[in-house]
Amino acid sequence: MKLFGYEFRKLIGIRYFVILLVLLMIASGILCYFRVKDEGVGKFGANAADEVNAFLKEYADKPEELKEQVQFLSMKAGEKATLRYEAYRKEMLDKGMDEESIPWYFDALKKHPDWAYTYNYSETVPDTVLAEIGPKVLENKEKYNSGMASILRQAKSNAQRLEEDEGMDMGDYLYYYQAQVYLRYAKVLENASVGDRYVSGWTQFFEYRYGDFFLFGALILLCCMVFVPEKQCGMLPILRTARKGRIQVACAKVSLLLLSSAVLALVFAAIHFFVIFCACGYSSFSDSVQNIPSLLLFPKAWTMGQYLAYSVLLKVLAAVAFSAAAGFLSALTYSPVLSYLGGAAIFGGSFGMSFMDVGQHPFYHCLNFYSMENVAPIAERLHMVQIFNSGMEYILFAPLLCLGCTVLFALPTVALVSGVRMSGRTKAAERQSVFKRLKKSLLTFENSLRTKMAKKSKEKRKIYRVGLVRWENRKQFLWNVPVLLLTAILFGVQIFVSFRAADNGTPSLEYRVYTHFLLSEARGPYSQQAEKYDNLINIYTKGDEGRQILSEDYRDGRIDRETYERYTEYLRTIRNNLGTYDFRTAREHYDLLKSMNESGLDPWFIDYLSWSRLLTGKISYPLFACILVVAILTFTVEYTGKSKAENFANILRCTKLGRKKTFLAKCLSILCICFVLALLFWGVEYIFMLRSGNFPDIDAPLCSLPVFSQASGGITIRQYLIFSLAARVLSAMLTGLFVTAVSALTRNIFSGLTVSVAVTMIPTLLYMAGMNGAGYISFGSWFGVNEMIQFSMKNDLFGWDFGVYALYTGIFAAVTVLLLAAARKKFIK
Amino acid sequence: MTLVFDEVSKSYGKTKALTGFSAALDPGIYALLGPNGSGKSTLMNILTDNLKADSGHILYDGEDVLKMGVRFREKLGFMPQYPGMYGNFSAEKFLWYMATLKGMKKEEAQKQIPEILNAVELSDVASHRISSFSGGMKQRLALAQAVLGDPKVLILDEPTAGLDPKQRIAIRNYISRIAFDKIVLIATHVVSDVEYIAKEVIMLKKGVIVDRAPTPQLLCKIEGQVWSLPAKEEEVAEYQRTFAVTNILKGENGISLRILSEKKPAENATLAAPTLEDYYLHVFGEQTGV
Repeated sequence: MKLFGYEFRKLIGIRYFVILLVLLMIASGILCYFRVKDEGVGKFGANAADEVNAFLKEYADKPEELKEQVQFLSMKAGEKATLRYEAYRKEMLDKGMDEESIPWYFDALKKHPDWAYTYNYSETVPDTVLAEIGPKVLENKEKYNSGMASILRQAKSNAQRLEEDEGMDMGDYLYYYQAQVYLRYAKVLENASVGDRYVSGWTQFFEYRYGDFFLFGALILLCCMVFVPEKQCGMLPILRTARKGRIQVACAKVSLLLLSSAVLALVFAAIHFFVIFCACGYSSFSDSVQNIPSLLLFPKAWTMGQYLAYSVLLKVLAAVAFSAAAGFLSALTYSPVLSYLGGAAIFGGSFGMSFMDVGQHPFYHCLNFYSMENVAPIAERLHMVQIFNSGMEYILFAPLLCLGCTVLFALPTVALVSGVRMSGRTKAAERQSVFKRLKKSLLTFENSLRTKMAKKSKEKRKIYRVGLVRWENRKQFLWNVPVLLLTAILFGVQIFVSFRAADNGTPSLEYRVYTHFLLSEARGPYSQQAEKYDNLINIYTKGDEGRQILSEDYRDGRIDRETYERYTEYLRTIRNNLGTYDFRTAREHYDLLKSMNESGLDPWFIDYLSWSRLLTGKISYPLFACILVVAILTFTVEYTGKSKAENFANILRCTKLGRKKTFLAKCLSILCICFVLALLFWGVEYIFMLRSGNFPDIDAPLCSLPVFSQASGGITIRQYLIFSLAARVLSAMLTGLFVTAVSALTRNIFSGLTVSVAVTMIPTLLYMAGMNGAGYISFGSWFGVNEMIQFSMKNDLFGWDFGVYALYTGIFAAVTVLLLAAARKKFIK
Repeated sequence: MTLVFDEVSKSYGKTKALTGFSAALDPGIYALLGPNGSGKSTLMNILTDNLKADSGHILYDGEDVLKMGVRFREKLGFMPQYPGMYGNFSAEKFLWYMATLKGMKKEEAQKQIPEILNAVELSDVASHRISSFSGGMKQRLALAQAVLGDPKVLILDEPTAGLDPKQRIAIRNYISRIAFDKIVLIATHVVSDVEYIAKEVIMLKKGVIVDRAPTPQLLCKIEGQVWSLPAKEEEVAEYQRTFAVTNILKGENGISLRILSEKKPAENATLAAPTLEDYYLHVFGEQTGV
């Protein structure tokens, strides 16, 4: 127990670890709040949920009346919102605002939802909210009933077929499974009560996923902190020669790791629970779980309280199991970088598995660390794992799997830390880890090769050029084998990701209609093609009148015979294959271009699908990770001694060029490396995209692409393509400099990496989770360029499309310069 | 060429690491002796500008080294006690890199690097990774980088730590050979390494110079105070309590004690020739517990 206490004290004595944990918790809480604050009815008062339930109770068995009531309430709300908008417009005009600058009705309504608030039914809950919730709850009920009926019907049918056609019975797993499905869902149908009540808070809590990123980040940090500092501070040899320094210490460390993981999982869950309680409140604990849309087909008749207990338990067990696995890697390598990477790889693998098709790979989809932490994937349907001729449902199997995983990794970790060999033979003094032995063997082999090569070329002694920038390139990158290997791996990941992203898939029906029936005839500037486009839609959609228009056009010589026949063929195809297709999307596209034209632009009708895909690419995580690792080594590599006296920096600073010139050389070196990496990684993305699509009309205005419809300037697609590539390269270089500055200031790989990731990724995560204001500070959006440009065009800061982007770039560059200045001062003093 | 320390002082909080250190050094080898915490490393770090002195100046040929900056570092070669190097570099590549850092011309580096590698007996492993080197090999490489570029001021902190006797002698002779036109400052605990090569020995105690003279002069001060005394095993403890016993040698003929004492410790004690180690213990005897 004493040893455990000491291990605990060691852990909480790492100040920046504790600070980071607290920051992660706060960030997770804030993100959760912003994510859920507009959901639920909690913001309308403590009794709001009751008011909603009263509304639902009144219309529970009267869906038609509910429809009418919803229409009435919506109409009233719409009328009021229109009046409020008119008043707002008048006010803006009176203030002298340009009519074109006044936001449209729907845009203004998004910013002022309270304009539509009317209170015809309830005094606290607006009609629009009731009108939104009511149908959803009833829809949920219908889905539940139909879903259950379908499952029961299918299970019964499958069981009968297996029994009659294949002679199976309860002794066969397949039959057993179908029988279980039927029995369990029949029980749920009998006992669960769905669609009668509005469920507040539980949906938000059980469906909230973004907190998992913060929790896993905290766990990865924890795994590193428990094992790695021991080696870094040089205590390991001393520890291992002490009486209790092996197995007892190992057990204490592993116990601390597992217990701390459990506590972290509980704390994060508690934070989210509390935040959602404050934002939305919770309805009754005894409501059926099936009232949550994503858990409609949960195979147990549990209440919210029961499901809460289970999900918290599984979260804790999953966190513990993950830590056991990541902790094993940490104890194996004793390296901070490898610990981080190992933990990230385990998380990444789990995250990737959660995207696998649940129908084909339910085991991998549901039973990975990420999905188990989330709980929902396991609970969505009845999944079972076959055990001989019977089965165990995932709900029960998952906790057992976590326990098994924990034991599977915890025991070898204890063995590793205590230095016990599997064979049982022991060695006095310090034992080498598996990793270290492998490293030593490789080194010996390499040295023998080097000696042979040196003997062969004895007469030709290699002369190295004396440029400092080249030396820095070699130090950081070219002669750093682990970094080169990592770069190669990340480049491979980039190739894979780009390949997948470039997969065209089948365009939607609307798009195929647009390209085949419209674009093939009316391609080009709106000013030249609008009439033709409009005419074509009329021909296709107005039935006999359309046919008449076609005939008149031919008769009047506006179209030639060939064109007439072609259009007639189109018309026939549409009638035969598309039936009552209404061309609404095509019409909306026309209206969009028309409104842009009225603002003074001349967008084109073009084949925009591939362009949109190419020009909306987001952050490249492999490139970012690569830059992070390379740049963080820029200065930290000079401070890798066990103590201050052992750093190479002591020698470096005594040389003629070891201060100012070296600092400058390091900065130039990282700029070169990031420039090359950016070209390589982004180049791969562009190559795959360009090979897999159609990219016509490169000189069309950028606003021709619907995703860039808010571009107000005259920039063309070609110009934007060049700009975005250049901007991406610039972002990579600036990021490299930023991390280099952090490297120089922290002088420690671990804290440098942590600070860099926290500063860049937390705002990115906040924006990804839907916090709109975070768009101004989302590093990920800026690094990938396109996302921030779209945000910039939407927000029109300084009246300029690139306002937000320029502001972020300017601030980032300024901060980087300031940090570099401080770092330079620290390095050369 | 002169290196002058003028009242250099440095404190760490309430602890005074160096107090008014003053010395003028001409070309030659100077040994800096003192127990742990006497201020040797502090002095070296101040000289190499890895630490700022609280007061005082260091002048090289009459000019403040801080103001000289790069011009002084051009003439400096530094070997710290625990040298950090790049494990993924080979010895040769590392020296080439150091040559760049020292602003050497390509031709100079091309000439000096093989010579120095030969001198420190690392020619055979010049292409091997530094991470595969033993502690002694790393020590020799650290010395190699310090002497690269023919610096005029050479600062060596424990240059022979971790070396076997043969290597220590080789290094000692090498330093002696190259030192004739340099100011070499060696901090060491291995007194025998500097006893025969140092021009002067500077004894530091709690940041203050307690003595400074060539070795023969120092030894004269304890002439007639070093005794050799045969003793029985049961007498050893008593002698240790009463006198400063600097060595206990157990041989075939019994135990022989080496004692530091102004008076003859026993009738059968004989005078012995003093060594620098005896003088060291004479000065620092209380601190070392002798």
